[in-house]
Amino acid sequence: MDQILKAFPNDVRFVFKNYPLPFHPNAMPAAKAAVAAGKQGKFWEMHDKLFQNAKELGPDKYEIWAKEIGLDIDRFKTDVESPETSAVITDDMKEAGKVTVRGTPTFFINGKIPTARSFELYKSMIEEEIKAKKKP
Amino acid sequence: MRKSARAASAFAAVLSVYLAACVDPQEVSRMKSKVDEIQAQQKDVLTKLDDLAKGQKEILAKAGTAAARPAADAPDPNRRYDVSVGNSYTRGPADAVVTVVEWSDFQ
Repeated sequence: MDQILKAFPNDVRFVFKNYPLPFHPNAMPAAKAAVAAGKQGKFWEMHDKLFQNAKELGPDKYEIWAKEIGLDIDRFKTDVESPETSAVITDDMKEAGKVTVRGTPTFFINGKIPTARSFELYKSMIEEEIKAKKKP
Repeated sequence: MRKSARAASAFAAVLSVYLAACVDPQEVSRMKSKVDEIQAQQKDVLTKLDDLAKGQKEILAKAGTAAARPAADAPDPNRRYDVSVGNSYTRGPADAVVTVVEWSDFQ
């Protein structure tokens, strides 16, 4: 995704939605950590931490990263446990079900689902969209 | 000798009764109708087996087409899905012409 944002800095807006897979035990706590960080305006900072450390996710890690990105830890702890945070994630998952998301990651490029997970394909689809939209 | 002759004649009498019973036309027709009945029942059983086999074939055929047909809710690459941004976190310019939505987990 970083690649895409770098390739199209002016023409692409990227939206993240949660789909923690039930058989990934760390996925839901990680999603909660990101949403809780978002409450302090640092969703993407936590998002990046989580992705960079995807292989080392664990219950003792989220607070460490929260400190590293400068969050108020007490507030973070409360937000991670709050039903509001869970609701954000379950709403994302409900919406995923409506638009046939079945696994992760699933991308939609102006609503279209790429047939394969390849940067080249995403890039050409985005270029096509830009061409179509910028036509006078 | 006399004793055994009497026994032999008694035996013959009994035998004749049995033989008579065997060729008794009434008995024959009773047996015939019994055989007919069994044959009819057998026919019934065979028809029922045929029906079962037919039903099984139909079920298998239906299961086959269901497996071959893509599920109704499979992603359609030609469709533009209505994906809302809503309150989700975004990156990049808000007025960008292309919106990329990703559903993902972190693990």
